[in-house]
Amino acid sequence: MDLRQDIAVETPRLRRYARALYRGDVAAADDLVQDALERALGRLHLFKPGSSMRAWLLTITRNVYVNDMRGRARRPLETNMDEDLDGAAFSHRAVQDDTLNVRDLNRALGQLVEDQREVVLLVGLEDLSYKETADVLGVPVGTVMSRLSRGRNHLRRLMDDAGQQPGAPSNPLRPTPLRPATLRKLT
Amino acid sequence: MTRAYRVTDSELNAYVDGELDVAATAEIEAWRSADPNNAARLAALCADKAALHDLYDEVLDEAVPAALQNVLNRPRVHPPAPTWLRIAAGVVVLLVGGAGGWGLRDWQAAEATVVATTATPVVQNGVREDYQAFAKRAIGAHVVYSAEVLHPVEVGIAKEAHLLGWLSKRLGTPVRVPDLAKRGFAVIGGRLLADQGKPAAQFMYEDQAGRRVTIYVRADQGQKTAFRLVGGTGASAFYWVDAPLAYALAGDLARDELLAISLDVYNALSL
Repeated sequence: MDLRQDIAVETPRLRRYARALYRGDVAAADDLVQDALERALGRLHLFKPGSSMRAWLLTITRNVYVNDMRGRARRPLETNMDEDLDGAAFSHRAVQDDTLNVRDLNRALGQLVEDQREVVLLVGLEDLSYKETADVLGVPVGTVMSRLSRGRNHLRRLMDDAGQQPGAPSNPLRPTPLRPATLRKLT
Repeated sequence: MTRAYRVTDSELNAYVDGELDVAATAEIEAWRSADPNNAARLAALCADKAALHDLYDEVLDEAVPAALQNVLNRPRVHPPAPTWLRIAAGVVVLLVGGAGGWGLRDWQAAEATVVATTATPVVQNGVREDYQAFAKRAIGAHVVYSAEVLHPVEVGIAKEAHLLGWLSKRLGTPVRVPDLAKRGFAVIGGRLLADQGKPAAQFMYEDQAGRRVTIYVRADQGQKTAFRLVGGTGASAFYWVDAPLAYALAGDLARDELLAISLDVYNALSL
């Protein structure tokens, strides 16, 4: 069993996760992946055979990311990421998007609190099971589920709001938002 | 099913994420059918999840940058742990995996059971990955054969008895073709395929608009699983295991419609 090979296989997924964490910032995302890979390769002896390499690498990536965020707490990521994305990064994408505006989604992701964003991404993008996500984050499955619900509700509300702003492209196809009365108000 | 059924956000999310077992999935499905508003709410959740993939999946197709390749190719520093230690650690993982789990989902239990009865070390996710690969092959077969105009199937449904007798014999277990008329799809016929050296059968359906879906089955004695979705180029598929067969329903349809058809297939074949 070649663990290095297993890590190489997972690397594109780590890059995707990191790219989403940094909302499209390629350089920051690959720096994160590089740090995570170095840490993983330096600790290969700690990998438990029989466990999921993907989950282990995502755990490391997430921990490196959290440390990085703490380090740059005074320098919020939101600054001009959106402008970058409006321009180059997604310019090749067709504009026929049928249900949501890609830019709105990316911007909305940036407005989620970290706890919710990471669950939304691990489950929704990396397709981890709830149990695997709970293991990556070191929280109970119930916590994963509640963060996921709140995160997704918040995300949808942010996108609905973005769609209603003056000048923003309206989308008649977007389903009427249905929000449970119990939805917690997040600020 | 007309009883009033209140669902929570968490249950809806679990449905969208493939975390529900077959019974709970069917309950959500009933709830969904009961009211167009419910269906819209589910569709919105599915769309939001799909949008995340639309936004970031292209990263998977990018070449891994040289800087990262260099890290991966650096010579190894730490020797591997002794074999006995790996085995001991593996046993611990199996025990933990067997004891964990969550009531709403069967997956973890199914995986733990299968892994625990396997003598050789298996990646924890191995079972699911295996079926995911199975579903990907179903997607491949769908894309190849559903594009056929002249010969979409090997044996047409006109010879239904022959078709089913033949494929049942080759798979070593009775196979049937579910009636999907309720969804607007009629069966055209089927063919025999090789699935990693073992026989598999593909049944093709078509609707009025010419859209095609295929059911891909192989003999499988694995643990019963929930529905899971896998995407591919040109089509996606829901797959599940319900011994003695493993199923994948492939088509180039919206997730919601694909899932609805999958549930019909499951219901038709398991009763």
